[in-house]
Amino acid sequence: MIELRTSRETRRTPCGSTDFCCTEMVEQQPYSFQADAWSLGCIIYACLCGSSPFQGFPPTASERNALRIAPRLPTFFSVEVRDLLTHLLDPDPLHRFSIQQALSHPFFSASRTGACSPCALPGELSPVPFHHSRQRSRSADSLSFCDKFIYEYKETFSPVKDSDKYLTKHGDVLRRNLQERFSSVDQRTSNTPRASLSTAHLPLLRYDLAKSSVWISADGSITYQSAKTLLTVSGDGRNCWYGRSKRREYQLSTLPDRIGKFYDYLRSFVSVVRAKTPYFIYENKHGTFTLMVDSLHFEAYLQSGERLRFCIGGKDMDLRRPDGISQVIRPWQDWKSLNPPTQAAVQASLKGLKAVKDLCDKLAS
Amino acid sequence: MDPGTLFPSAETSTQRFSLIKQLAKSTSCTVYSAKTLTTGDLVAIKKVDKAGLGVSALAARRLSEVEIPSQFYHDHLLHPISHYEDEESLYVVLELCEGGDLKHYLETKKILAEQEVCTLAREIALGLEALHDSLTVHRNLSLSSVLLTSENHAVSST
Repeated sequence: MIELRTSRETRRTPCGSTDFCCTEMVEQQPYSFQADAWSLGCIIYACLCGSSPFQGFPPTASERNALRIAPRLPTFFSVEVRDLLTHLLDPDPLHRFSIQQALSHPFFSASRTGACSPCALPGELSPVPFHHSRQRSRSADSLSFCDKFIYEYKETFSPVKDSDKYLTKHGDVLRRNLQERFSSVDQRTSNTPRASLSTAHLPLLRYDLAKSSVWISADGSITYQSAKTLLTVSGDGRNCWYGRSKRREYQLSTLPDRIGKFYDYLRSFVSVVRAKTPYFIYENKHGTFTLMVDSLHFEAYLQSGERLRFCIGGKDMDLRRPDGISQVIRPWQDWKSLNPPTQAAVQASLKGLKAVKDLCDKLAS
Repeated sequence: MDPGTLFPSAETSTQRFSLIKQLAKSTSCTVYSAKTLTTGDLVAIKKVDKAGLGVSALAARRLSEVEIPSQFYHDHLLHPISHYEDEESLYVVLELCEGGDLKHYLETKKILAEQEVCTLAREIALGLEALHDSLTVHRNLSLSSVLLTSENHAVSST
């Protein structure tokens, strides 16, 4: 803590955790009260998202002008919190909210009810007919997949005794569909076009490995950097810029294979991040349910203490029991051999999945 | 230090504390939970290493750890109860926040619901507002400097 003599006095000594440092502090510019407002914004973001927004890399002064736009906020944040964070995480301290302004923001208003009021979901997530899935983007087809899965779950699974029949009838088909979709991405032959990546709905992120770094910038572009390579791909995955000194632009369709392998690496990186970043969070009396950005991975934290993680449409569920022991269960196959608390957990998480699905539908329509 | 050891108390300090366990550690300071021997009250004691600190750096540290926070009596700011020093360390006696810090809480819960974040963020903001009103900048606000009381109310520490 430091006391200032006047309200206009500024300081230069950098201090504080790097993850929560504001732009002016990192750049060793004078800072004042606004630095605390930035840190408050970072705390709110970190509590909702589980990771700090800038990982020690706040937007720089050069980005500042181009970046009079909001930081990239996950879509599961409510409208109120998105607006508040836009003002608290403003790289320009003169435009940033003061603590007083923040306190009078609707996010803090007492009348606010309900745990989560998600903003309108992008049209991309509206259900599409299942047989069109091959031409659609991954998140769209997997949600329609989720749609079909839940529908079938309702039809055949609700009387529990039919679970064996459900598996033989549908489970293998669903599984095969899923595998096909993954293999079409991973085993590309020279004739088929390269699958594209998309960083939509992902937060700012930086990941450092021993010899290379990958980061997603504020404009949505993703960059791979190593000693010899610098490849930047636009957020929609269509345009690429390659080279360290001479930057050359490529279209995805005409990307030579020597650059393509880095593109493939970035795509697999993005798919992992999409599988781990929450997209939509729903809470009820049974627990907290999270659908990830790829609309394929689902996680349920139950009030009873269990955590279930699974891939929508898959056979396996990853269960962590309240005592901390993890195991893989196959509820559709060994339903009878599961103990009653596990059965209840599986049913609660599937009900949660259904509720998430219904909410997505309601918001999309 | 082992549990049960008595904290070295300066001659000016009237109370003695028995250590319970270490709560947190950073490069320059360690926080312990301790019991006041005379009353049995639980407190937190922050031990700041003097090693490597010059006279002016030590004065600045004393200012930011003890003197400035002592001016604030606010529900959402951590108020130092007392302090004492020996040759090696500066000891600050603080209220014990049984909920631990927000960083640890977030690690166990992964993510928090918006309603809960709203409550916590408002409490942090109220504390900051009081600081700013007295022309004080916290400048080290982070997940680990926000502590939680046993009823899950947020208290900002230095």
